[in-house]
Amino acid sequence: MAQLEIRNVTRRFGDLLALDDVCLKIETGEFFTLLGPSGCGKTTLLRMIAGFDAPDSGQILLDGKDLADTPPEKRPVHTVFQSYALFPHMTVAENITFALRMGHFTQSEISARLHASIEQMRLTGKTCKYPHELSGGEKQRVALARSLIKRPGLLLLDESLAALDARLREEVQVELINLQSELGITFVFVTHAQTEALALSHRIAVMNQGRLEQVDEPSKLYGFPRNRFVAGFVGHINQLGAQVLESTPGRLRLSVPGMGDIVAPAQASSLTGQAGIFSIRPEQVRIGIHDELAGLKNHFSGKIQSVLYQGDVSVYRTKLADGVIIEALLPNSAPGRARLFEIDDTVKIGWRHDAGIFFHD
Amino acid sequence: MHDRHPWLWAAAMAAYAFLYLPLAIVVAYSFNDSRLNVEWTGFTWHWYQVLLHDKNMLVAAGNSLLIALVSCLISTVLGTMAAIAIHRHDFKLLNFMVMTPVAMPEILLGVSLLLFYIQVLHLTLGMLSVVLAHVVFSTGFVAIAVRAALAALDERIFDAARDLGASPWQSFRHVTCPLILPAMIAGALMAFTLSIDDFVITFFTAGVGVQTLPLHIYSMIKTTVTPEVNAVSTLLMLLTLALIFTAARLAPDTLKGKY
Repeated sequence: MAQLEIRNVTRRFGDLLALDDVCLKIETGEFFTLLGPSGCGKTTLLRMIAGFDAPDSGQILLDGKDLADTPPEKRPVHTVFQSYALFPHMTVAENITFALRMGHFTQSEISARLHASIEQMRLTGKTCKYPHELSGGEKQRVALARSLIKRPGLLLLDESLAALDARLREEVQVELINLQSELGITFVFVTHAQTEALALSHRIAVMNQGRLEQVDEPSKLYGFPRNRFVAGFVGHINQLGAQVLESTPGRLRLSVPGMGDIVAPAQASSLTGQAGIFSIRPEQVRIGIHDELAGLKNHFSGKIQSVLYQGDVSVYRTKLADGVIIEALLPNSAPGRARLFEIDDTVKIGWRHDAGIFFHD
Repeated sequence: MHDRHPWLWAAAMAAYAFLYLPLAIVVAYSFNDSRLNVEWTGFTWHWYQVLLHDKNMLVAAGNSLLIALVSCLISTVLGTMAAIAIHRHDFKLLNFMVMTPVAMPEILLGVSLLLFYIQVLHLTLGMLSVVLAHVVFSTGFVAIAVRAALAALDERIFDAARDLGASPWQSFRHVTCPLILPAMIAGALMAFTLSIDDFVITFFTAGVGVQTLPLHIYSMIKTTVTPEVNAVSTLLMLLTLALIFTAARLAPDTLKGKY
């Protein structure tokens, strides 16, 4: 039995359909992420699990029990808020022990747990400080400690890394992964940042306009997006309008305006004559100057239009003869050279016949 | 700035003089060794001694303090409750109803309360009617102060309290209340100050039974103006200033500095 089950949950705010018949099962011990653009309904769903909002129809079950009549304070579910929502008039120790002090815990139990928590969260020496005296990372750890002190079965994290700067965020990501596997508590994480979702999660649910687009492991989500939205939202991708010329088992021949024919892996449901979008990841596109790409089924000539140097990698935008622009991502691993190609270089680009995905309309 | 705009500086000084000179003169003449407020004849504590032995004055002062204390307590509780309700539920009508007495001309409020007490409630005018009247106009001030404090807080901390297992009462007791306490005290001090020197509304709602300090001073002025009036005015001024000063220090803005 799944620990948390979302069963046909629908929620409307006036004319807006925030959640549209959402069904989801989350297993015990999972790091599960709800990923989507703002307004996709992910936060609404999280608030419902916490008990701050109720579905118009459908059920939310925790360990098989319907939560409908359980108020937030009675749910064994705690939340780490985006703003952390630390109590400004309480010290770090008072914040962390709040949940225990509101319940029936003995003084010795409270101080024992506080001690362990302070150690685990590396907050030694901060117990008497007030939230406004803490750094962003410390606030985040206090918020985590406060939500975990009662050892909930389920921890909800609402955009909990959004307020941290990029460097710290990476550090905290690693800490979160370690913490989750150490505690074995189910984490439900909400974010709009796809890199965060890919790095942290066991499984990800991509949401758009109140619906679940795809629920999968990060590598499947990235490698085999089920539709155009997922392909475009999770990672960067080149999207080209295309039409199916020929559909044979295992392979599709597509006509792309401005490029001619290309070969792509077959989609079970694609039929000859269907129109759609051919998508290919920038890191699957190769660039060469001479004939090194001649062996590839798909290769074209073009000119480098722009280069985005990012240190470890560079993004090259190549303009083909007919104006189509293809992005390619190449690692800068060759020693001694910052860029492999310069703007206005005439180049060949290409990709393997089994790279890319065709989504018909 | 005042180097560049001496005229601006002068205008400001003139305005302050206009505001505070009369007060300064009242204070100065409370120490004047003469029955008349006309010329300075020498320093004395005499009028403060007269004041201490003036039974009517002391009774009036006692009434004023009692009324201010009771009405300030009631309006602090009501104003805080109203502020929380307005804040939490975006309760526009309640907001309007609580704030209106703040903006209403006192004379209108006084007359309408008088008519209401006599014609509708058939209430004998006295302490009770004055206290109720003061609650009516000071509740709005408390509500304004508390609402400002609530608006400055992160809404999510109330969710966080419940999320961590606090019952609604625990959440109020441990989170909401300590955070709005400075604003509640500021509001209470404002209510106290407004009550203790209110004349117009008290005049209409006190009847003949109760004498408050402002009413008594007014009646003294009608007969003879002795520096005793100056002395009591000075004391009242001191009390008011002390309360305003305390209220300003506890005002909701200080929350931001503290937390």
